[in-house]
Amino acid sequence: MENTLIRDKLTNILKSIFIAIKRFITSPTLIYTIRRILSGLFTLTLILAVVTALIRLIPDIKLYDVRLYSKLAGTSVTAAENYKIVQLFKYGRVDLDGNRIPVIRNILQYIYNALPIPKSIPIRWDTRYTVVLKYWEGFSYLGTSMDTNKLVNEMLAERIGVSFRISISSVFFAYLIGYPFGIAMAKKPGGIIDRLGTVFIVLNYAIPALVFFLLMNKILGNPSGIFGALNLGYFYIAGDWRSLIAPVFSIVFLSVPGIIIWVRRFMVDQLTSDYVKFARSKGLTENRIMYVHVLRNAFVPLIRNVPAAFIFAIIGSYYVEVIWGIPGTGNLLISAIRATTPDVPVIQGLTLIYSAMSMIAFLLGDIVTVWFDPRIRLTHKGDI
Amino acid sequence: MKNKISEIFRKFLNIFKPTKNKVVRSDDFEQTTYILDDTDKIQNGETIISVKNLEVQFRVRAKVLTAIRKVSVDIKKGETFAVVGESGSGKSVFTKTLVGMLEENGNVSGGQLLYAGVDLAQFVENKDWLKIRGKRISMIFQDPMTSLNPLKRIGFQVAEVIRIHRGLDKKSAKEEAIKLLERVGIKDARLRYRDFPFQYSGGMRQRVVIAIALACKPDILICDEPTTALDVTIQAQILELFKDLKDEFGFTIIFITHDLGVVAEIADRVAVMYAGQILELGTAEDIFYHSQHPYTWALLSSLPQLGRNDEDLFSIAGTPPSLIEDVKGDAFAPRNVHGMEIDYYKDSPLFKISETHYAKTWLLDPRAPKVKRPKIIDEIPERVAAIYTGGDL
Ligand SMILES: Nc1ncnc2c1ncn2[C@@H]1O[C@H](COP(=O)(O)OP(=O)(O)OP(=O)(O)O)[C@@H](O)[C@H]1O
Ligand SMILES: [Mg+2]
Repeated sequence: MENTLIRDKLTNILKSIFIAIKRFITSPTLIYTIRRILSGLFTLTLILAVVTALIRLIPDIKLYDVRLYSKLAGTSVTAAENYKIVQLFKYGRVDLDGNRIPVIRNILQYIYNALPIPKSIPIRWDTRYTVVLKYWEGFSYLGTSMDTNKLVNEMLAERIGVSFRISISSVFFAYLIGYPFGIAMAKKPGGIIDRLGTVFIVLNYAIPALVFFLLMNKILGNPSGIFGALNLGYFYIAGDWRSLIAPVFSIVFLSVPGIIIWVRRFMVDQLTSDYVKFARSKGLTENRIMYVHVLRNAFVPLIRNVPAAFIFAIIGSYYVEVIWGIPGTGNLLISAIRATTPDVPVIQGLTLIYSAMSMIAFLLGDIVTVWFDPRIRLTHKGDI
Repeated sequence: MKNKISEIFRKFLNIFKPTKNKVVRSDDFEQTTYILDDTDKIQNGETIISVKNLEVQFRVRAKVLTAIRKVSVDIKKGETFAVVGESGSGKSVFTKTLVGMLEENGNVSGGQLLYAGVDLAQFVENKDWLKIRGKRISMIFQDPMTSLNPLKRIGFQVAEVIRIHRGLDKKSAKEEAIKLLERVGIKDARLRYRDFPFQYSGGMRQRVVIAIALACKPDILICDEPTTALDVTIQAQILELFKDLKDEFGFTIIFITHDLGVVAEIADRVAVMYAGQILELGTAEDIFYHSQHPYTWALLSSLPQLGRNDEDLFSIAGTPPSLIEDVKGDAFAPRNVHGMEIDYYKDSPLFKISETHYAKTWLLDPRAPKVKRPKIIDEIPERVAAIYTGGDL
């Protein structure tokens, strides 16, 4: 008797758990999220294909040292040819017999290598390229740098940290300053704060970024200048957070106007909207309208914008990294492109992570919107 | 140090302080004492709002636009007072001044707005208005789709006002809100309490807006074209709801519309507005059956409900004058088929026709020639009777 009661209870609990799981799995929001991830991966593949194909457009002659080639050719044509074949082989253009490899194989090979599945890939041969001396074992293989012979995976891992730190702090401070400022401007369009803000934005846009960065480097770093006491220095010193103040400040300064403009416009729209008028006519105080109604509504678009802002900060930090000598990804990209023979694996690797990060950023933005905005949140048909 | 920081913080917060209220003192400024608590003592039919020589101006770039030009009118407790007029005639501006919600660039530049003896035109601070808005005078705006916060639950938005104005705790505010929602005709109010506005239809949202406006049992409910955005059946239901609620709660309605058909449904008294002035004022009967002003005639003639199938629908030629310059003479003169010489250089006074009925046209001057009213105006009683008996026109 008691047993059946307990069993009934248990089955009931199991049933409701099962229903909950089923609901979650079939929830349109989850399906949407998964669909977005899949389409993101597809786009990523496409980007890799295009970049690989574009790299194939670089003529062969740029990929090996022509002077060395002719010097070798002076003594032995085969030696010269062998040198050329080995070079082109490293770029994936020919196989070791000198037969050309089609672009499509390059693309597929790269994608296969990048896929996070366990694999082992030959990375070192003997001088004649007949015996493989070393295999790389792991998941995603992004190639070996032509320049340093280091694994691209490792180079990226080494360098992304500092770029991340700079971007995160820049975005954080830019929002910290831009958000309240934009709100203050929107509170009183045409008022004193609004006008000052407008002047700031116009001036800010008028300064070319590069000039500004160089100026900041000189002004902030000068030990005998106005900011000398702060001891910020001209260059980045690993492990010294003070040396990041000047570059972060410079990025923040230039990215604040965009945030201010966006926030101000959003706020003006909200503050003149009908629901705010109605809230006012209900007799709510201005503070309540601002904090309980308007600012809460601004939350979703705010969160939505942050990931993208962050990515743009990472990608856009070339100047800063070069000027302050910061060993980040921006710096790496520039040196990879400027090398005498372009460091193709590094370029490809950076493209891969930049695009992957952008995809993730936009994906996060959209998912946040879908999960938090009730108008967009996709509901079960029967729920309404 | 701590004080300093808190002061800086307060200064920072001041950025978020209410924007200044833009009420300019009238010439004869006298400190009025608050007797707002006495409004209950005002009997039905006694004046609750008395507007005297009200003038409202807006700054438009370097120019001044006079949207309300010396309007005087008394509104009686318990009546439904309709304001009709073309777009741009100043209906909304007129009502916004009653709750101190003119836009930043506008101000009351003259006259008085007496509410139970208190001159609202003297209010300078937002604090003063907070005693009026929502509690004493509530306002419903034209568009029910956008009057609610899209990201807050319906229940929250109704309970919010109850909690703030009546000081109820969360739980009893919720019960009260559900009662109110049911009263305005939301079915399953308890179940749909946590819905978001987008899950409600336009008509339901309008009902919610009405519930919010009535949450604190205001003396006066201002409705600015509350049914314009709704389709005809819903519109009729909402008007019916207004009538029911008015009987139950006993508030005064100021109803703005450009639809005379709606006025006929609901109004006790009607003011016809044009270019910031009241051209004709009277009971619904005065306006519909004994109108004296050519503008009212024109408005009535253009009513589709009164037209016969064999007649062309009348429309008023021309456009209203610009209010940026001083209007010389009678603002309606250029469009007036019965216009006279004098209309162009001297504005007409408001002539008293009966105890309840006033019109502002030189045609009422004894020296003016007698003009014949349009046939359709004379036939209104018969035509209306025909509508109600279901007969064909
Ligand atoms: N903030 C403002 N700034 C400048 N002019 C304004 C402002 N608000 C209203 N006006 C002007 O005041 C006049 C009256 O406008 P109002 O909104 O009261 O018209 P309305 O009778 O309500 O018309 P509608 O039927 O279209 O709502 C118009 O000429 C309008 O342009
Ligand atoms: Mg209006």
